[in-house]
Amino acid sequence: MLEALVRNRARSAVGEPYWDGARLRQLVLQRCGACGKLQHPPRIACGHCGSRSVEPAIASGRGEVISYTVVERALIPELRDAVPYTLVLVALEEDVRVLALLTGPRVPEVSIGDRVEVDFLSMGQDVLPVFRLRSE
Amino acid sequence: MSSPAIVGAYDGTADAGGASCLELAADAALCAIADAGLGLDTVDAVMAVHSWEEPSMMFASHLADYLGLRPSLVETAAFGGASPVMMVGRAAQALSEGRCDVVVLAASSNRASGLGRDAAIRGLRDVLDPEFEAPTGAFIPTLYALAAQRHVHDYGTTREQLAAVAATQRAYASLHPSAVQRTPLSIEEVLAAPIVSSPLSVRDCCLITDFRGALVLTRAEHVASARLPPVWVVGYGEAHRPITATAPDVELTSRGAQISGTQALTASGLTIDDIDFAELYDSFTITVLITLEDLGFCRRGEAGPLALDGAFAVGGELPVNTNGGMLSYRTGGMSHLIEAVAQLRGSPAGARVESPSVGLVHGIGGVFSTHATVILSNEDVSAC
Repeated sequence: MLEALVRNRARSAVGEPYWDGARLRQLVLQRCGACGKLQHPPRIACGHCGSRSVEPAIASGRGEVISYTVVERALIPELRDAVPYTLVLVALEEDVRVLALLTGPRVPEVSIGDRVEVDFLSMGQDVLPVFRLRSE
Repeated sequence: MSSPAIVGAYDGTADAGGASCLELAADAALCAIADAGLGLDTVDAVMAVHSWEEPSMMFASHLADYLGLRPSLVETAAFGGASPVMMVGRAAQALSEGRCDVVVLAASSNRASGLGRDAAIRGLRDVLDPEFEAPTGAFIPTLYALAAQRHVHDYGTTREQLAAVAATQRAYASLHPSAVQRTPLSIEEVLAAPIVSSPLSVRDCCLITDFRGALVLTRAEHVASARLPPVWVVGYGEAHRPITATAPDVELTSRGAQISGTQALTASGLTIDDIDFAELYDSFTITVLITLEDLGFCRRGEAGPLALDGAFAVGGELPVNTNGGMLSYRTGGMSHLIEAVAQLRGSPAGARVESPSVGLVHGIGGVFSTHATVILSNEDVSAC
């Protein structure tokens, strides 16, 4: 079950806004107060310019699939019930990338270049940001 | 100035037989020193790959102590699969600077027999960001699959072409008496194997095995005291690229071997056309194709069709992974170096490259994250 992976994740102070934001159905990444760029995963300093003035920032949640993979084999026993699942590497409009599950009624057909938007999946006490295909 | 040289090599069986990583490393080191024909007391530098299987704060220091050595230089390498090649680069540099005379470097693992497959896969997940990547259900094969899928999209690379890499390497392994997987494998069988993470099937993934191997390097002044002719380290380069899958500046189908490969070739004064064979890190079939293209053996998108045409096979234009590599021989990356030495000595245990004089070995750690390229030759080209 993916829920166990989410529950047992590492936790960091700079990461907390991402998970708190997800509970409010917002994709919260990190913006640098000095150079203005977004980054993910969040860090104690900007990975572009080194500034310490990094702050949580709500991202559009809209982007494009730059690659994907369908995981068909449970590589650890607790994922036996989770396969198959699709992971997408998304380039958001803000020029920052996110790796996430792609959700849909079933495992959806996806192609590189498809437009996606953030969605949120409740997993026990946590909410996991995921993506879904945009219907247009 | 003449180059440092490899004068001893040893590749142990892929079965730890209950031994610890430290015991395996010590065994490999002693065997490589014996292969060199040098006394243990001549060794004044010890390098070893960090054993994440049995975490040790100072692994190479423990190895030196275990061997009863009081060396002037010790280094533990923790660069994932690039560690063996990176140790060769660091050993060559230390020898060139005169900081030591004889280096033994070892890599060992009991991940298959000690940890077991499930725990090994879990342990290797340590490469992923533990808060943002691991919870998505990503694994190392998943992240390499993202590169593969993009390669398929951008260049029309097919699953059949990826499968050709696995089948070609199995053909090499079937000729090697100590390869783990020796039963011939057809492209059709690779295609029919269960998908792990699309487009990669089980047969597109490297083996999880134990291993132990070591090399002995020395300076030109001392090669005459070795038992066998030297294999010279004529060029080395390395590159450090992102570990995070979401780094914004990563081109998914071109990763870092271009940087390390260019550095190594420049240092050697050779060109890519001078390379007679290559031993390339092959965590997955896609790893081989992207590395061939990044190193400049062919243009982007050409490696897949070339693999299918047999260009990298026994008797092909550029023999690649001539012992079967990590896909079929055994995992770890050290065997690539040892196989290159065997080919350049003219004494491979399996397939033989026709009178080689220059071989290239490339190591990769993480997910295309750390890169190291070394160029080896049985002639000291840099001294000419």
